Amino acid sequence: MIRPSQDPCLARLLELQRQLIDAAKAWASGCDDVGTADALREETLILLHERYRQRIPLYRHLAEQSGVNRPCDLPTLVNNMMFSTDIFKSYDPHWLDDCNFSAMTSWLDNLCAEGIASSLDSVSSFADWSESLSKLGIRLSYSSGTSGVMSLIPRDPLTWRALCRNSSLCGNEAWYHGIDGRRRKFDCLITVPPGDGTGIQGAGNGFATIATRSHYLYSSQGVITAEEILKHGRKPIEEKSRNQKLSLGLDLEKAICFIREGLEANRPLLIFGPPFQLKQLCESVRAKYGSVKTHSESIVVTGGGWKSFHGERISQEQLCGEVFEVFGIGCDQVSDAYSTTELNCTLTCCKAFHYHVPPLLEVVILDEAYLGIPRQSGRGYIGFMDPFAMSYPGFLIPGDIAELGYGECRCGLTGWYLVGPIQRLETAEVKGCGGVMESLLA
Amino acid sequence: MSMNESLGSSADSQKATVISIPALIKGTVRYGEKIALPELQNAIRRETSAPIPVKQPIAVTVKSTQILAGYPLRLSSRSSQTESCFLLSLKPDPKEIIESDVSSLVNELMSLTFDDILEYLDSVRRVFIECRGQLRSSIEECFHGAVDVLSECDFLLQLLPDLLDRQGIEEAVDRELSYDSRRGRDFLNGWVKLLANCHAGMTSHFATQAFPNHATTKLTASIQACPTRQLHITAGNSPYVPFISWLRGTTTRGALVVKSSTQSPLLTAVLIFAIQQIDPRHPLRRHSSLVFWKGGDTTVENALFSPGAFDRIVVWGSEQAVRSVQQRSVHSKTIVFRPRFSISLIGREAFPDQIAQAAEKASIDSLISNQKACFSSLVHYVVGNEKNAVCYCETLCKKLGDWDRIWPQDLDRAILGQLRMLKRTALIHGRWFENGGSQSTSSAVVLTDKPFDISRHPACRLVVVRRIEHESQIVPFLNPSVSALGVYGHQTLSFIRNIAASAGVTTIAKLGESESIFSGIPNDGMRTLSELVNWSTSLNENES
Repeated sequence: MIRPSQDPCLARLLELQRQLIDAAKAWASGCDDVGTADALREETLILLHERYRQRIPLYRHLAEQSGVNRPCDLPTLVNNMMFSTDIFKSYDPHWLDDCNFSAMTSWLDNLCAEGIASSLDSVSSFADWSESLSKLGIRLSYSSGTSGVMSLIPRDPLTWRALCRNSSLCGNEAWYHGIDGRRRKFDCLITVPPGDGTGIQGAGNGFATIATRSHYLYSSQGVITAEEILKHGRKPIEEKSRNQKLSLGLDLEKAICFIREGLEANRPLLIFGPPFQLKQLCESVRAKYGSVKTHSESIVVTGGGWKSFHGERISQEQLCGEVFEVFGIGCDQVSDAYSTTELNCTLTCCKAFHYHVPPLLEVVILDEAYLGIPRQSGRGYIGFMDPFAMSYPGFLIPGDIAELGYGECRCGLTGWYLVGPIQRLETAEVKGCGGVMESLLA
Repeated sequence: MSMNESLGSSADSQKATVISIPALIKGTVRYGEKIALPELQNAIRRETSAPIPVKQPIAVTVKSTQILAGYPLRLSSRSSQTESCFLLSLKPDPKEIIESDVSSLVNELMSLTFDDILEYLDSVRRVFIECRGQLRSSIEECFHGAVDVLSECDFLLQLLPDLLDRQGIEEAVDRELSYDSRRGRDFLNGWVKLLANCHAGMTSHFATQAFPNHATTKLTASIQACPTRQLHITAGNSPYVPFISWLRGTTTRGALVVKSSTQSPLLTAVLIFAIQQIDPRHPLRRHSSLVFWKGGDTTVENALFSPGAFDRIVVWGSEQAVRSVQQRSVHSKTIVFRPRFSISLIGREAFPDQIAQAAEKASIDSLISNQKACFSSLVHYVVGNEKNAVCYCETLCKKLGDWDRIWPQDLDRAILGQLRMLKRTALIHGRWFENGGSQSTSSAVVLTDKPFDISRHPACRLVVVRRIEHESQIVPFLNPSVSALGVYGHQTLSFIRNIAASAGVTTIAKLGESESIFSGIPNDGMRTLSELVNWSTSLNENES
């Protein structure tokens, strides 16, 4: 890996990122300087374009095909160099079935800024491959996605560090540090099954590491590994949720015990998980216990959306009502967070249902033709430009729709925000004379 | 449609336009119940609690009315913007459209001669010509004067009489129903005696031993193409499919139900208004229903797919849609029209001197129906080296540019978006040749060395070019989903014709001629009219 001392561009990038982190801390405490942060981000993103162009073959190819050469400005990047997050699942799934890790390595090498050695050819399982990559300094993050094919995101140490650090600067910061500014002691109940296969599991693990005590709701049902998710997509996690209504008995008892012990120790509780699992937890607790008392400063954080549980979807207000009735945790203390596995920070939803964009991220709204103007409000496809994505193209379109706004929110934060709910874009169907075209290679 | 409109803001507007379109129930024109705007909007909100389908209109049902919400229409000539409208039509009651009286098939439809059929179709044709102004006024009133509808209506009123050309129908019937060297029409006129030798069965021979008085009889065989009860479920982007279905059903004397697709409310309305001018007592009118319901609505489909409801179910649609119908209609014969596409093969004869000629011909095949028909070529396979392939792409791109100049396409922004996104997803590894610039691409050619998923093709003047070393390398890509294969080069055509035909390709044509057609041409490898009739055999003693 090239060190900052050997690469002035890298040194400048790291300095800009440090300043962006300072800007994010100021923003989270309400003393932001939007103009300065905007300028910092813009310079970072343009430098990243250069870095990607030099180091990521796929990015360089697109830049050449689109005639985007240096020097380059932000609007040009927005309109030409934003990638669909699908590129992180653009490998042939058969390669994994056939344990063809030579092909997988070559695929990953094409979209990674760090050259990946061909010595990885000899690995024989996904776990070996992942382990070998991590020895080379590349940690893979996974996302199961809606298509059943996993996204694989290669993070170098700098990007990984950003992932682990940035989310704590994006909301609830005051809660974690309490009134006296010292790290708060709290218990964490995680409703997602244990494991490290997906982003939501990773986030759960992150909360677990900073909590005093943590408990996984499905602790008796085993760990779901990345390999299991690679094989079956999101199914294992969702199957567990579907089964939980019938088989939660013992796990639920343990969770209630965990909550009560925390209350006795006067520790607030943080409940974390996807909204469909939180709803099911509330229903199960209500059915068996009616309600359970928690510490008055407890909070709930949801993330990951409703996935295939769309039919069970209820509004955020209704979900807050359920949480209040069952756990006595007020609406002000329930927040949803939006992110994708490719991003290195999260957008936390406030009580005004605004997902606030920290200075760590550039959000643009694109129209149906995937064209947009940076820093302009409006409704459309969301595009993210992540100044901390060092090892993979961080100019991304995840396929969600929302409205981007700007201003001072009643929650106290200022700047850009997305108005919830954030909706998933349905893929348009291509029709021929006889109806919707089927998937067929030609 | 702007993104705001497609996301439903227009549907919530107090000014949303509600349009009632006609349905034909056994020859009678009917409309759905009128529903107040707030109730319509509530129905949409109920349906769209899930992610809103941005790209396509949404079908919902309220009481006995079928609603198509989010249907884009340009209601004013002063604005280029479309408005998201509600289209209301009668949700059909299965009991009213299923032909339960089989004797009426015998008494009314089977007794019709081919001349009766031709006369009926000709009377519809004359309505299109002689009552053009009246039909246009009816459409104008029905669709609240929508500008784009009226211009399409004018086009339809010119086109539809040609599709009802008497000679064309005669030729199609004569070819598709031809049997034993007899013209097809003869089999619609009654029993046709064949010159076949009838062999008595084995049991009859044994019977002469068991029953001394039993004698085998010399028999005459006769064949008739008998009417069937037909359900046509249409889909796809071609608005003409419901018309073609109605025409095929009528030509074969069918008791007919045609389900329109969301793409064809105008054509269906035009056809219904025309049929309305025909004698209501005519059997072919009284046995015709043209309706719309939301695909998958079990309150309609369970009855329609139940045993004995229909003899033939014709399904246009994807594998999934077809499988769904087949699983629920096991007692009916199902005729399937799947979505298909076409390809081109540029043989080595094109290089180095005939590249321009080949590219020109290939561009013609690619631009059939602006790439939206199954005959449109979406992928070109070029036999040659990399240099030749690049040269072909450059030349083809120029030819497409020529088309753009004489026939500019009004590219929907969402389609432009799909095209632009392909460059950054499925075709990211390709070499792109574009006309119009990357932010307003009017046509493009992509040379790629990776197989391309055809379901991602936006059907908007994009040609995917694959280089192959030898003609035989196209074989893995030849299958029944390929409608037409256009070939450049005599030798290449000779080499590939039998291979392609045995792989399931329906039409193998000289490059540039894939759109050429004749009456009675096989469709999806079938003689469709032959599939729609019931071929009945009569075995009787010699009749004079």
